[in-house]
Amino acid sequence: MTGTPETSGPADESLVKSAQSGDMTAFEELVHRHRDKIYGRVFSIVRNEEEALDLSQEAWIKAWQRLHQFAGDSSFTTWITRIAINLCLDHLRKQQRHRVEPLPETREDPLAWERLLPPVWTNPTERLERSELRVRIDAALAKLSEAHRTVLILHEFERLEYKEIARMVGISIGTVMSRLFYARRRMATLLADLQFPDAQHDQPLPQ
Amino acid sequence: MPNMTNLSPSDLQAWVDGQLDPVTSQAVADLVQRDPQAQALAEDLRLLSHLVRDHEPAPAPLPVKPDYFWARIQEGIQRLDPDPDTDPTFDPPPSRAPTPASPSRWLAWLLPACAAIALLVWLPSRQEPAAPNPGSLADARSLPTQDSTTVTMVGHEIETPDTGMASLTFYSAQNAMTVVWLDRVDLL
Repeated sequence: MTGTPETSGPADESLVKSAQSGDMTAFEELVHRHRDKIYGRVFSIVRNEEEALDLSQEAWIKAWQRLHQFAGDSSFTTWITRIAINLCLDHLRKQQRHRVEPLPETREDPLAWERLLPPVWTNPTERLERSELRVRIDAALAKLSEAHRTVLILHEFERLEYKEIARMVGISIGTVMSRLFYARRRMATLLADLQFPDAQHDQPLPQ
Repeated sequence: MPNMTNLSPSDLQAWVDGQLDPVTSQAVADLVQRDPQAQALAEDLRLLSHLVRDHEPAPAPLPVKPDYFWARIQEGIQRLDPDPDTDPTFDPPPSRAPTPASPSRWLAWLLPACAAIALLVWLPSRQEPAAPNPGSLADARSLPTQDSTTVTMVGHEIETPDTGMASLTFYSAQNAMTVVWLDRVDLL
């Protein structure tokens, strides 16, 4: 969900410039191009259709309001996605005033080097189609708490560094690390019966 | 140099994610080299990360028609306050002057003030107040009240019905005069 969809017509940059001059039609075209991505990202975090709709619309309204601040340092989609994610995080923070969700403790025993995944993971006997895998991963993500899911999404899909996540969410880097580790452990448990595609083995570990 | 025994699975995860500083990164790399369990866990973390990244779920479909979605955004934009930085037609409203107090608010403290003044005029004619300190106004006893509900005046108390009132009492024996200063705290 990181790329810009294939579109004909003027580039985003050109539309942004027109919209910055007050051209509502250009802004409408930007909404048309990216509304699905923005709604999808918001929904992936809040997991509620109505809230996702409100928040994604609010993101677009805020984008219009702040369009003059957009300097083109990042792509327009990155910029509007950050606005939407920040709105989600604000929304979750407000909700958590009323609904305190205790986070399970992550085991941080320095010597606890047990495997995250069951050994069957690496046995490519049964394969799921990519679309089936996506559905399974989506279902697993839905079972995570909002706090764990948010950190995982920001790191894996938005490709944010730990320090960026910490700043956005308002938590320490240590908390980012422990939430991410817990989220992955939980995902591994939820996906334990999946088989891993061969192609994934080609990536080397860092040196 | 980080102590090997202080490294945690989270550090290993940060190493897999490329989020460690060079020194800690080298320490984790050394650990992975010689510890099969750490190596297995690192491999699991890497596989899981790639599995999730490469199979990001398809975005949930917009639950309303695109036209309706856009119409609601337009409504929201129209409701926005004009931004003075971007809107040349924006005419900033004049700065708001302090709202004058309504007559009822004035009456709320005027009536007790009148009562206090009447008492001041009336009391000296009945008895001589005991002067706390002879002298000028500078020697006078000032008694700002804490809760603003009671005015203490040289041995007499005047109840005021208003909690938003501050009072100060001055007594000058030289001038044979007591002055009670009443002030509305919430108007300051």
